[in-house]
Amino acid sequence: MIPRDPGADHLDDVLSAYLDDELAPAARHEAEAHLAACAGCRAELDEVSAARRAIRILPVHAARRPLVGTESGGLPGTPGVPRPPSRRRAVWALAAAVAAAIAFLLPRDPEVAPSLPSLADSHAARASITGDPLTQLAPIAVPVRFGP
Amino acid sequence: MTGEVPTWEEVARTHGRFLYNVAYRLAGNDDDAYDLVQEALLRVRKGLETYQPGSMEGWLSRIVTNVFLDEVRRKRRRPVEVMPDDPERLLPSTPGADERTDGFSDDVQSALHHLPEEFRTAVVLCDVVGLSYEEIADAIAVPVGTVRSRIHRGRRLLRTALQ
Repeated sequence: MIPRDPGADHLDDVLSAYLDDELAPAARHEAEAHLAACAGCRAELDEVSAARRAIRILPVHAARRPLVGTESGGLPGTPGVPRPPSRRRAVWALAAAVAAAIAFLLPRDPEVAPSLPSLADSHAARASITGDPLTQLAPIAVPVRFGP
Repeated sequence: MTGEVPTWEEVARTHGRFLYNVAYRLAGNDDDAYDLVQEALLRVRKGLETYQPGSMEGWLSRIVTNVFLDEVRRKRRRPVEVMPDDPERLLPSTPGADERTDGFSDDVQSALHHLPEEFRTAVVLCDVVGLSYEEIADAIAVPVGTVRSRIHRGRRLLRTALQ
C-alpha cells in the first residue's frame, strides 16, 4: 500500500462507497477529482477493489446435507417433525446422558453402598493369590505373550 | 407458488441454496451454517404470516443475519476466549492447521472468517448478498455511515490478509 500524506484529507471509506455506487453525483465528482490528484488514494482504491472482487467471485457454497427433512418434507422443529440435533443440542444431550449414567451408577442409598474396607479386603485377598509378592498389588492385566 | 406469499416449504426449496451460502459466509463453517439455516427457517415459518411481498432474498438475508448476530451476542455474554483489542491482530499470519488452503476461494473464505463479526457481516451483506448500504443499515440497525466504514475497513483487512 502506498503511504499517503498524513496531513491531507483522504477519501478513506468514501472509496468503498465510490466502488459500490453509493455516492450522490456531487460527492462522486469530488471523489474523482481527489483520485486524479492523489496517488495514495488511487492505490488504496485498487486495494479495496481487489478485496471486493475477491468476495464477489466466491462460488456459492452448497450444503452438504439436506436443509429440511426429506422423508416428511416438514420443517425441523414444527409440530410432528422432529428437529435434527444441532451440535449445541447434541452436546447438551450427551451431557444429560452422561449425568444420567453417573446418577444410575452412583449408590442411591449410602446404607447399601459397599464399604471401602470390604473392597480393600477383597482386593487384598486376590492380591495374596495373584498379586506381586512385594507390593501385594493385584495385576491390572493378564500378561499376553506375542509370537511363537 | 400459491398467491403472493409463499409457503415455508417453497421458500426452503427455492431459496435454500442462497440462504445456506449466506449463512456459510457469515459463520465460516458448515456445522454452524447448518444451525443458522435451521433457526432461520423456523423464523421464516413464524414470519411468513406478516411477510410483505418484496425482495425475498433481502428478507431472508436479514433473518439469517439476525440469527447470526444473536449467536454472536450469546457467545460474547459467555466468552470462551479473550478477543484482542486491535482487529488487525485477528488476521492470522499463517493459516491454521484445520483450515483448507487448497485454492484461492479457501484463502478468501479463511480471511473473511477471521474478520471481526461486525466487519464480516457488513461485507457479506454488501458483496455476497448485494444489499445497498441503506438496506444493510436497516438490517443490522446501525447508521449508513457506520455501514460504509465497516465495509471499507473489512475490505482493507481482507486485502491485507490476502497479500
